[in-house]
Amino acid sequence: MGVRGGAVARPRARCLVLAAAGLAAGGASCRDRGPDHGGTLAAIRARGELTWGADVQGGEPYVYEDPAQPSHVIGFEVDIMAAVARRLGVRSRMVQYSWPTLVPSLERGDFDVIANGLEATTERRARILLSEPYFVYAETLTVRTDSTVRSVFDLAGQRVATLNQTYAYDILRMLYGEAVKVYDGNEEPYRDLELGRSDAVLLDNIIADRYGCTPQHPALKCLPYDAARGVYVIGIRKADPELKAAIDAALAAMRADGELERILRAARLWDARQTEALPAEGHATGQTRTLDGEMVVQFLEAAWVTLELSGLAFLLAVPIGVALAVARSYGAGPVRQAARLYIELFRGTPVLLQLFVLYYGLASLVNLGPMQAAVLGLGLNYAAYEAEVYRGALLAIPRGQSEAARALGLGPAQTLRHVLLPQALRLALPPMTNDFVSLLKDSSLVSVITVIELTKRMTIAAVDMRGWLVPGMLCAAMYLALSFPLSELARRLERRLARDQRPLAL
Amino acid sequence: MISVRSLCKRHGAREVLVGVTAEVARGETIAVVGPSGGGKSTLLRCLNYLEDFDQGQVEIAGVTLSPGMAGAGPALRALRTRVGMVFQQFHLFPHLTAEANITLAPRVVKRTSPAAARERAHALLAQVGLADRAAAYPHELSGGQQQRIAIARALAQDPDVMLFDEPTSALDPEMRDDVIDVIRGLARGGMTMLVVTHEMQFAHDIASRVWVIDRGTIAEDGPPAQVVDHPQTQVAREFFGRLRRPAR
Repeated sequence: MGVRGGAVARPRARCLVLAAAGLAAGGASCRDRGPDHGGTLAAIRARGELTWGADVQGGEPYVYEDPAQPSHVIGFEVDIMAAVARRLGVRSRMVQYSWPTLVPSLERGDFDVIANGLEATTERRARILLSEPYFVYAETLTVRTDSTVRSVFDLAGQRVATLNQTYAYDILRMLYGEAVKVYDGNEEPYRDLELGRSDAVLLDNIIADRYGCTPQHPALKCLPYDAARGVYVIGIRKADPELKAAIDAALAAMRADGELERILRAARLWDARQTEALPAEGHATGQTRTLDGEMVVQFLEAAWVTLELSGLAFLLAVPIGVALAVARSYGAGPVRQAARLYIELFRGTPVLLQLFVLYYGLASLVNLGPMQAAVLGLGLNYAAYEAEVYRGALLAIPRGQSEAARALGLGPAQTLRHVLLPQALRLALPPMTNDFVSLLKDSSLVSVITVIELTKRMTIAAVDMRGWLVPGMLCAAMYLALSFPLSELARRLERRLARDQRPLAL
Repeated sequence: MISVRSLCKRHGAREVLVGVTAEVARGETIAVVGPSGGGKSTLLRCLNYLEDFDQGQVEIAGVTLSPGMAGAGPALRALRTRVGMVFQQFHLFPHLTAEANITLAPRVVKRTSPAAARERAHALLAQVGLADRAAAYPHELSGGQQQRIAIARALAQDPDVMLFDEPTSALDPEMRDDVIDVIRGLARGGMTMLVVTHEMQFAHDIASRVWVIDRGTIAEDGPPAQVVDHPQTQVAREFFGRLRRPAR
């Protein structure tokens, strides 16, 4: 499983945040920071509480907010952890964390264990301790009903999609390399599949059954074959073998006395797979990647996407911004109000939300490609900011300029075009440069609509390399390599266009 | 050339112009003088309709102005190609060279060809004594040079009337003479001009008539020999007396 559900409030400069997190988390094993004396198990018993990390965005049936009582968290993993805690003689308390950060947060000591669809893979086992399994899932392939695809091996040349950082993602990448679309939410991969934006979705059967082949998606079908099987386990810090032993004993007892089956049946998750032989441990990505030429090429390609995206979005934002500024400054009543409404709407709501609405929300009206939606979304958003920059610049032009133009016989449009706007653009150059650099970084948000740009490339590389430091620094270096020459270019342009504008002497 | 009848203008409750009536014949140069706040600049700005007025009528260079015609585009457009205006603060366009400042209105408003506009601009630059500064930007020019470019810019529309709103007040004394020489040249050439000024020497030497404007009316109107040298009204006497005291 992966991070699911809409991600609406991401930090703006994710690259740097994550790079900083990488510095804090450091190498996997060198900062294990459980309690110093007596181990985590003793600490749990002493405080009478087992804390476990999970992400409610994972949605039904894992761990999610009770629709009848949203402050209350329910899900089959809530029940399993309650039973495990009871058998340890303590209470159970879930701690909310973003899914991709669960493992580093566990290592930091933010909570005792992870229980949230954590798949047992060889790579994970090298980093943290994994309990015995509590659930067997199957990778399920979902396609459109008219598709001829029969298995994951039929997908060459097709657009395949899955959730970020899942075992399914590892399988698809092993088979098809980088041409895999990654999502962060449960619903979106299936919606895009139905719209023809992709050709197949590979995900855990729990997700496919609940979000993919449902009555809401009549055009989709789930293939009846398990593409692979895997198990969900509880993640424990390397330094806590005695806690793992206690949890394994609790899980074995739950299996023996039928409590585990009761919990899974209650969640409609019990199936034949649970009693069959356990699948071999997932091992898909092979070796940890290192920084090599291929990775640098991938980063360069992603940097090009970022630059192209930001450049096109800005080319869209500038003329719309100028039009909005003119409308708001000189338009008749209704025009002025409409411009103001646009600015308040696009400036007052998160650009991430606007991207979601544009790409997923309006998909039934206009089926935009990811890149088109990204350029349009960022362009429309930044137009609101540019509009205010130009309006401010128009206000800063001395009144005498428009009087002189009028006295020479220039009409309103001619005055704007030949006298006011050229001067406003000169005044707006420094804030425009600011906005473009800001846009360059905000463009990382478009990864939510499956565009792989620089920041997304970094998070992918960070997973492959098992560390944030090197990809984070590479990512930061590329952002700087993009923004610095642009700042320099703007500085020269400013010097050329605004020779007479110098800071006032103090 | 100019006929002003019962011109009234209010700023809120304050009456700025109180029934100004005057005639100006072709080729006359009127020096408009008087105490600050008396309405000199407002009168000038009403004459090319940079400001609306409340009552009265103005006929200038064949165009009739009446209150509330702010939206009358073509008439105002015609007015402004026939009436040139020069401001105290020059108001040159800082993003354009001297030449481009001069050619902008002919190209955009009168659709003159770029080549013809440029040729005319160079002739005007020569006329104001700045033939070598065509490529200079306003910030590279002294105040006196900027004002001469501004005059050339207004002349480029081939106006019948020129209005000058304190053209030398923002200039250092040593630069005023260059500007005054240009205006003098225009007067000799037969241009009809209204010049709001504090330069008594200028009013005395160049003007064909002097208007003393006080509290919204023309308090005194006559040739400089009469108005400046033998003022009749109290306000004119005080005004010229005060100006003459620090005379050089």
